[in-house]
Formats: sequence, structure tokens, C-alpha cells
Amino acid sequence: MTVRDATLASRGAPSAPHADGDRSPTATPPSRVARTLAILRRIIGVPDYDGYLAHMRAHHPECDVLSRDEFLAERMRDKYSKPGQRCC
Amino acid sequence: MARIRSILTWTIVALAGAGALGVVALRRGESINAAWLLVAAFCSYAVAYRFYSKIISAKIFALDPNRATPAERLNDGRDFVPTNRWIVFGHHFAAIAGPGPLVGPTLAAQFGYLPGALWIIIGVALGGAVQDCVILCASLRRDGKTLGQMAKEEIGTVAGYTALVAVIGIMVILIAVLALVVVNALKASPWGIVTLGLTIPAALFMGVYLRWIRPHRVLEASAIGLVMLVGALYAGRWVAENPTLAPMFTFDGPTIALMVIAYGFVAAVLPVWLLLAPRDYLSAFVKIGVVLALAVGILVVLPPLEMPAITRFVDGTGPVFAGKLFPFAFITIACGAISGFHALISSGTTPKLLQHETDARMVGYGAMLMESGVAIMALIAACVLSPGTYFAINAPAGLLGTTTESAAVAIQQWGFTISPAELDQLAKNVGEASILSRTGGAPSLAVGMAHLFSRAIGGTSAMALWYHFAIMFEALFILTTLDAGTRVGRFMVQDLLKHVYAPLGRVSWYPAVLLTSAMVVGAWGYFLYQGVIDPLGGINSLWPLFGIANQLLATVALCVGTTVIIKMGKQRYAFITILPLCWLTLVTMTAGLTKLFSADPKLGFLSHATLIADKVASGALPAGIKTAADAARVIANDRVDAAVAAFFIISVVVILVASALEWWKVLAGHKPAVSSEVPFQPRAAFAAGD
Repeated sequence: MTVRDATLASRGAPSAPHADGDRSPTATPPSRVARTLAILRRIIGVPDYDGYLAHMRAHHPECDVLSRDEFLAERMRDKYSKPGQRCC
Repeated sequence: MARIRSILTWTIVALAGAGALGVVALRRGESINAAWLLVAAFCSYAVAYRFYSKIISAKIFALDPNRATPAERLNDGRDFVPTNRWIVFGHHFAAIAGPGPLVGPTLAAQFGYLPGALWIIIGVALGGAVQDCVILCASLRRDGKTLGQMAKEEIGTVAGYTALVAVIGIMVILIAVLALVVVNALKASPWGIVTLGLTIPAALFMGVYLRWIRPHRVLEASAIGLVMLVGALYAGRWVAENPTLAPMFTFDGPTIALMVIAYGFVAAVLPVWLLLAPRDYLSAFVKIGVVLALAVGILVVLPPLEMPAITRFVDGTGPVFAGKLFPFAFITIACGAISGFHALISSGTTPKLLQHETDARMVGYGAMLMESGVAIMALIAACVLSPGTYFAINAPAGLLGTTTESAAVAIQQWGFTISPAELDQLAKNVGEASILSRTGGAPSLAVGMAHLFSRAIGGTSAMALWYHFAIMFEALFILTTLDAGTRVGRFMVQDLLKHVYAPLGRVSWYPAVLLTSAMVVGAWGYFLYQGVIDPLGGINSLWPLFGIANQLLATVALCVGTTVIIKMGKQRYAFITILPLCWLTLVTMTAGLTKLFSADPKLGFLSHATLIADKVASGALPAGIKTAADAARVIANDRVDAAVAAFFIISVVVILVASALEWWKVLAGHKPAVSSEVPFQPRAAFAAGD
């Protein structure tokens, strides 16, 4: 799980102060390898579910969240349905 | 002190760049080293970034680190997500970098390395990077609106709809020409086709793995996928060396074209998680890996450029594609210098990810400079080949004949020397039966890359593996563009057709999905097939159409950019988009009109149709055409191509006139100069003392 948790740490989003505290149960800082892998994953365009979860907890705690599968399916539908994703 | 050091550093960078550019431009008669080209390019990029892009970021948009970006204000954890700028840079670069900047400069090398190199360096600094950055900033200030929405709101409804239809047309031509590149690389190549064919089950396996075996372990699945790609490479060699299997996997162009069309249709209707998404991950890795490998290869080997600075083909008699240096060098290079397609990405995902406004300069302008660097490296890879080799690979069979002897004679007449034995040996080295007339740019780039890589690792014996690796990598991401493009095209068509019959707009209704997918695949499949059977080699007619289309989209983007700048009251700086806009208009109009009306049948679509019709009427069939029915089809194709070119020209005129009217209204005071930017809001994190 630490690999995935690293995704959040590397985001550096302004919302991070709200999110970081209650996110990781282990609370160990992610290793350099884990951080690199997380960056790699974001660059190739893997949707950031942990970021979404953290955002929902911090800003919309009253709402139901999508499951990981639902979230990924929704992001992919969105990604491949409009121009502006790929180029010549 | 720091100031003096900065002045000193930039003076040195500027002088080094200017000096290297001088060597590249003026040295004649002896081959120069690729290092000069690299130094010229990278010093120019540094100076352009430091000084020219600052006009956009500081003077025009006044990018403000304390102004909240859409990603912060609209953060929904899905679409709008504030993201570290290096991640956005990587993501944006992976999205804009495609086969275009690899193929275009390779084709343009027929004029020599100098015209291509100068346009790639100057065009990106004053055109391409400016366009990407201005559109990114404009979209950033408008909650991530798309280029189409901005065209409609800033210029007017007519311009908006013209842009929308133009985008669909461009997609069709883009997919067709890229598919043609793949077909030409794979025809009569059992190794190539087996390797590429096996990448499809590899991607399917990744899809299944990510869904059921180890869900969501993308990097793990990608690593397995990459290992499978290497396996596919060796499997291809095994088949090609097997005397029974090799003929079974040797196909001609039209057969492969039909396979690609069938594949495109199936891929577009399969669920994305199964094929498209996993292959997209894979091709992003391969893309970044190959760009790095190419850079390392060039830096390690530092090859001399065998191609002359300028060839005699600037007069328009070139065998790779017809047309003079102006405007066709600019049309051909397209993506490496300026690409309208990037405006779709700069107004797509990227503006919704930026954490700080000021990151837009690095992502918008910087990523395009890097793309231009890729184009320079592709140009180098093409120019390290001897001119004889380059023309043997890139000239169509109609000019070379089909044997190495006839090719050597033809190339001799163009003033370059290569012996039939050398051509045979090269084909053997790269593991192909023949390398003649493999037009489209991908094979000659692959030979160039194999040449470089094998000098760094493995020697001549590894050349065949490197060659097929390069072909696989180019074909892999062309196929990804092909099915992603088909899918996007399908959604756009559905969006238009729902006005005719509402259920056609439903994205989950299978009859509508099948119908619209078939329409999109049929459209690009038509152009692909006509390109494959074209006796002149379809690249000659399709690549210029693609170039014109791409530059047309850039014209739209620059019109939108200029309008935005004028409405901000910054007309003093509007030159930054008007300058490339004027040049592109000149280039696209000249090229479009030439392709339409030129009296030279090699160049003009209509005169070619007339020539064939006259020959048929006089009872003789032209060379390369076997029956009267074939001739009729060639004539029909010419007319379709002419109609497409005319459509692009009219679109340019419509958008230019609409934009110019809008500028005049604002500048003459008939319309208030009101910017449609979302008003300033401070960053929450900043307000809280970040």
C-alpha cells in the first residue's frame, strides 16, 4: 500500500494539509523509489484515486465516494471521449 | 553580482548558439558533425525560453503565482486536480509527442538538413511554443475551456463551428496518413508484422491483468508488457527466419491496409480498459524511453551528417514528395515546429492540472521546445544515412523501379552514388528482403536509429533487432493514436448526429456506436486505401494534406490567441501571435492552392486528374495503372483530395475574416475590449500563509 500512498504525498496539492493527517494509517514517509514510481504513474496518465479519495474526505465528507473501479471507469470514459488527449 | 553572472551566462549561451547556427548554415562541401546542430538548437531554445517566452508570461498574461488556478478553485479530485509542475510537464509532453515530429523532419530531409533544421529551430521559438503557451494561458484563465469553445466565444459562432468541423476533417486525414506510414513499414515484412501483431495480445493481456489478476497495478502490468514487447521482437525474427512461416506472414500493402482498417474498427468498439488504456500506458513508456535513447545515442556516437546542407530538390523535383522548398518544407515538417493539434491539448487536460499560474510557461512553452528537440534528433537520424540510402528508402517504386540495380541507376541520375550491392547488404543487415521504396519516413528513421544504436551497442549484428525495435515503437504509438483518434472522432460524430436523430447521440447504444464507428473508420480507411494503391505513393498526396490541415488548426489557435490578447487590451504585444499567424497563412494558402491548381500533375490534384483522363481518352493507360476502372478510381480520388484541400482553404479564410472583423471592432472602439477571463481570486494556500 505504501506505493499507492506515495501518490498523494507527491501531489503537493494545496488541499494536502487537510488531507495528509487522516490519510495514511502507517504514517511512514514514502521511500524515494515509491515516490518516483508514483510520479511515473501520474506522467503516463494513471488516474489518481487516492488523491480523489483524499479530496472527497477533506471537502465533501458527507458525500458517498466512488469505488476504485467506478472511479477508474469514469476517468477512462472521460479521457477517451474528447480531443485534447493525444496528438500527431 | 548575480546580475552580472546572469548577463555573462546568457551572452555565452547566445554566442554559442549563434556560432553553431553559423557553422550549420554556412559550412559547405564537407560533412559537419551532428553536435553543431544540437548545440545550435539547444542554445536557441534556452535563449528563446529565457527571453521570448517571458513576453507571454510577464507582459501579456502577467502570470501571477498568487492567483488561484482552475485546478485549485474547481478541484474535484477528478478532472481538476492541482498537480506538481514536473508531473504536468511530463504528462503534457507525453500527450503532445507523437509520430508527427519523427516523420515530418525525416521526409523534409530530401531538401538537405539545413532548411529543416532552421525551420524546426526558428518555427518553434516564434510559432509552435508561442501557440501552445498562449492557448494554455488563455484556457487557464477561462476554467480550462477548449479551443472550440474559445473560438466560439471570442471570435463568433461561425468560427466555432468551422473549427469543430475542421477538427473532424483533420482527425480523418491524420489517422489515414499515419496508418499509411504503418502499412508502408510493414508490407512484405514478416518480422515487422508478427512483432506488431503480437503487441495486440500483449496489450489485451495487460488489460485482463489489470482487471482481474492484479487490479490497478499499472506499473507491474506495464513492466510485463514491456517484456512481452521484447519477446514479440524475437518472435518476429524467428518467424522471418523460418522458410515455411515467413511466406505465410508476408503481405502486400492493400492486404495490410484492410487489416489495419478491420483492427481500427474492432479497437474502437472494444471497451477502453481492455485494449486502448493498457496500450496507451505502454506506448507512453516506450515513447519516453526511445526519446531518451535517441538523445543518448546521438550524444555518444556524435555522427557526421552525410546528407548535404541543401540538395537540388529545393526546386520541387524531389522524389520523396513533390513541391518546392517554399511552402512544402514548412508543410511537411509540421509538428516539430508548430502543430495545431497541440492547441487541443493545451486547452484540454493540461490547464485543469496546473497548480500555479506561473507553471504555464514551463509546461506550455517548455514542453514544445522539447518536442522540437525530438524533431531535430529525428532529422539527425535521417541525415546520418548516406543520401543514396535515404533516397532508396524514401522514393516511390514508380521512380526507382523494383530492383536494387534500377534503384542504383535512378539514384545516380539524381547525383548520389550507391551500388546495388550496398543496398542488398543494408537490407540484409536490417533483416528485410528489400528496403526500397519504404516510403512514409518511419523505415528510414528506423534505419537511421538502427545505424546509431548499433554503433553504440551491439555492432552490425544487432542492427536488424534495432531496426525492428524502432519500427515496432513507431507503429505502436501510431496504432494508439489511430484507435484513440477513431474513438474521439466517433464521439464527435455522435454529438453532431444527435441533432438529426436523438438516439444516435447515446454513447452506450450499440447500434449507434457501431454505425458511427463504421463511419469514422470508413472515412480514414478510404484515404488510407487510396494512398496504398496510389502509383505515386500515397505519402505524396496525403502528407501535404495532413500538413495543411495541421497548420490550419494552428491558424485557428493563433486567431483565438490574437483575439484574446487584443481583448485584454494588450494589442502592443499581439505581434507575438500575429507574426506566426501571417507566416502560416501564407504557407497554408500557397500550399493549398498549389495542391489544387498547380499545372504540374505531380503536384496539383486537378491537373493530375486531367492528365489521367486525357491519357485514357487517347486510348493509352498511364504508367502504373492497369485497367480503365483503376484510372477512373484514381481520377475520383484526385477530386476527393482536391475537395478536401479546398475545404481546408475555405476554413482558413472563414476563420481569418471572422477574426479580423472582431479585431477591427475592438480596436476601432465599436466593441468594448472586455476580457472574458475569470476574475482574480487569490490562492487559498497563499492567503493562509503558504
